[in-house]
Amino acid sequence: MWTIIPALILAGVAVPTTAAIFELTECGADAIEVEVIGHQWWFEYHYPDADVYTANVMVIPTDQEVCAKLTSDDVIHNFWVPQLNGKRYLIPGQTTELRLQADEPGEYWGHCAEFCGLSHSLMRARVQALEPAEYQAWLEGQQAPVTLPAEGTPEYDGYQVFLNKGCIQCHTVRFDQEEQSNIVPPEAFNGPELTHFASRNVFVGATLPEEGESRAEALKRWLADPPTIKPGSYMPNLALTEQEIDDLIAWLESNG
Amino acid sequence: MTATVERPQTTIFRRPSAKTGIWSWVTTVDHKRIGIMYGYAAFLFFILGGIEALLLRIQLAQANSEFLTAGAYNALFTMHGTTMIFLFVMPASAAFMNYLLPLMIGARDVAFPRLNALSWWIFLFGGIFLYSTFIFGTSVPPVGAGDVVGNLAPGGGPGSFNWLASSPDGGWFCYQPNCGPLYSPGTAMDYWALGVQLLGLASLVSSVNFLVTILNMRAKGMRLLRMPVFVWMSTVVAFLLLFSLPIIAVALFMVTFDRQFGSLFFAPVGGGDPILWQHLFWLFGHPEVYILILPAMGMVSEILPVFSRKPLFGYSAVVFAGAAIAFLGFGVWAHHMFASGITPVAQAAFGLATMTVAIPTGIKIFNWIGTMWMGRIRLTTPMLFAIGFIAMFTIGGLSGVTHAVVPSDWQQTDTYYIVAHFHYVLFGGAVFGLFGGLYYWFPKLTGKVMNERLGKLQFWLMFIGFNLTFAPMHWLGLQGMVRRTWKYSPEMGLEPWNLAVTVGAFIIALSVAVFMVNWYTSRRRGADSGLDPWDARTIEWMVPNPPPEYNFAEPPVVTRLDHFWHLKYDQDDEGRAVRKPLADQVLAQIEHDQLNPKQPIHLPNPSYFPMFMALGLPVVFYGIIYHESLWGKAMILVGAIISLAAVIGWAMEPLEEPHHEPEEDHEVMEGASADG
Repeated sequence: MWTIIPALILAGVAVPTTAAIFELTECGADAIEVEVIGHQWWFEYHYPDADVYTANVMVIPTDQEVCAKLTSDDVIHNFWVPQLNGKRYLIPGQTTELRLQADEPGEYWGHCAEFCGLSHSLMRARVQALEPAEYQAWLEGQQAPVTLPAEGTPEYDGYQVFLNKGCIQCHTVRFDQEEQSNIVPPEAFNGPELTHFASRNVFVGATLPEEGESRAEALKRWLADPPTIKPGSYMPNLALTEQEIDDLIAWLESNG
Repeated sequence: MTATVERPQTTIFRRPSAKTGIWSWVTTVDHKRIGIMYGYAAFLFFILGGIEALLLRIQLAQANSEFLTAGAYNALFTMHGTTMIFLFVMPASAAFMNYLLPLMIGARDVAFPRLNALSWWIFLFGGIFLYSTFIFGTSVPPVGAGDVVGNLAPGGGPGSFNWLASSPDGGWFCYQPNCGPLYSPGTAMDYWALGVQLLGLASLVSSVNFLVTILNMRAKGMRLLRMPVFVWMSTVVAFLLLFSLPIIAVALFMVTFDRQFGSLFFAPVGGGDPILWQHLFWLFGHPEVYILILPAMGMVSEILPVFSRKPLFGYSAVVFAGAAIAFLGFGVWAHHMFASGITPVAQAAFGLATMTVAIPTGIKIFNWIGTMWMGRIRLTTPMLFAIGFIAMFTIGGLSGVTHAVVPSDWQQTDTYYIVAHFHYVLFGGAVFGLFGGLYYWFPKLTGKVMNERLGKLQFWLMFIGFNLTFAPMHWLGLQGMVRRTWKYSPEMGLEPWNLAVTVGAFIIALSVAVFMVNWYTSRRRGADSGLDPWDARTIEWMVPNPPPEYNFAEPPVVTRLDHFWHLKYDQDDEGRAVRKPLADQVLAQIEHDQLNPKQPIHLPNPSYFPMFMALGLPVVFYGIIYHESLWGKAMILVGAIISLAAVIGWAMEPLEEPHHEPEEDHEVMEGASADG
């Protein structure tokens, strides 16, 4: 009897378990597809239908199933936004799927859940759920290139820093004057795309800005010495002067 | 038999003969001495692993703490896990098995005494090899953009290269490709892979030894179903080791080949599969969990009947449930990988298989409670630990069932909820069991009894500290605190519970300090135990405390389960146990007989060669790590020569030194069990 009763309880648990596994795993046919690419230590998001790239903040429409296609650029990561679904690995060379759906607009917090190297702790995620109309507007905004700054402005000086101090090696920016765009080829070392940087409310693996800190303050700390903020950071200390950092921030903040 | 004496003696290969001093320990093949050495070494590593845990807890006591660097934190949690599993719980279990198995089955030693010494030395040198990474290892971040852009500041961050961070930092699970050559380019992970390889080899050798011992060396009448449950669980563990260690051995060699010789088993860039590593690792790793817990279950099954003064309830059910847990344990490994994107069918299958483990585990828990039910319970320290074991293990078992519910596991996996779960089964389970065992068999070891007052103080400190440490981890995990995080954000509201956890960890440390004081003082000034301090049931208590080198002067003849108990007790008409009037005389007679063998006793001779053979292996492994240099190649050669020379010496040394005893000695062995 002491064997049968636990076995029956377990059988009772097993049925809904199995049903839920299938229900939560498979993407529906009308789901929006978003590619999630893991990097040490940030998440990149690619909207293949709109050909939009963004980083750290994943924007999705509410009341709409989203099918995340997960893969990794380096090691195994694990995408987890607890309020939207469970975890799923991002595996280099393979693609996994995860269903996400937000019923309410708002910000959802997440984290990489698989140990992925030195700064695993600082690889966080943010999902922003927008009403469908707002989402559409956001997507169109992201599709548009940004304006090349006019000479003589601080933004222009910042752009010059971007060009001359090494940033262009890793960061893509798409300008309205297409021949000026800096497209980092996929096989090269990639940092987050900066085209609409200012449209994201968090950066650096969704760890900055910290509570009570402005974006500019956080950026200033970060640009002064990335490896102290994110140990092992692939973005090196570029030995920028204070003026250069201020100019760079002015330019980045203008790319809404 | 006589051939052994006629073997020509040479002066090169002599058996060592020291009876005391350091050489007697280096060359010993006595299972009791080897058990003691295993025990002390395991305890030392327990302290090291504990210090690592305390450092981790200081770091996590506050949000965004700067106490440790990220590199040091990652290294410490890797070494904490590796140490507690491979260098503490496994060798501590091996210590008990070594010491107790021959005594419990009525044998004079294990089947292969020199092989037993070899296991011990490989373990010790493997542990030293692994820990030498703190001195020699290097752990550097992968080649980053800084190196691409030009000669800019390296991406390590300040302090990342301190000495703590020079140890393995890829996790005890060593997930690929993060701990492969591309993303962990230093030598630290090589120390890890080869060190664990050595430790696994030590366990593999002893598993064969224990199995042969248990199957072949039982005293007359000690049928399989009369063996103490601890012996049974050791048998099951030996089978688990035998079948699971080769898997990890192969997988670790693949890791070493990937790292050292550019093979691409697990590297996606070359078409390798990082998930294959996870399958191999957990195919070993899940049985490993039962390797850690089953010996403690065996100990608890010995302690509970003694202090409940009742036979174990459902002896055969407990034995077969243990075997069933082990069998099922091979079919559930992928529940560690529910987030890895394996198909829903596979997830459902492994989820259901995992649930079935709850059934035999439940049988055991019911039987333990049934053993105590209506018993005349004596709440001694070992009994407190055994009861603590049942309670804590049940909590851990129940949270284990929640992992089998796959959609729930998708939330729990890789959070502190998992950390809470496995500490409830491995600390609340295995470690409580081990401490209970230490208190229970301390008289066997020393002839003294440990101080009860300090023992109870230790139990309550550990029980409170343990729950304060690990219970809040459940809530932290459900609040979203992921594992292996060096920093967490203050916005998440995790600080109060994390502080409580850190306080709890220090209470555990305090309880261990109390234990050490108790051990030290009781060894020196403890009360004399006599032959039978606990009114025990099993035959290891039929030899004096501490046992003479030969264990049994006359190997016992076992007539039933709990043989020793039945020598002392009869049943009255109502089925109650009544102590025989002559019980005390029987005990005195036993002690006298065991201390005064009627004939000289033939024992295996000590040997140098197990130690030397084990010594060559880490030398080869150092050589493999540095094989690109001439020194490395030379070390491989030197190590191989040491080990091979030891093999030759082992094979060629005489089975015994010429001795002065008459030839009939050999017949004593055969005929010794004539009267029990």
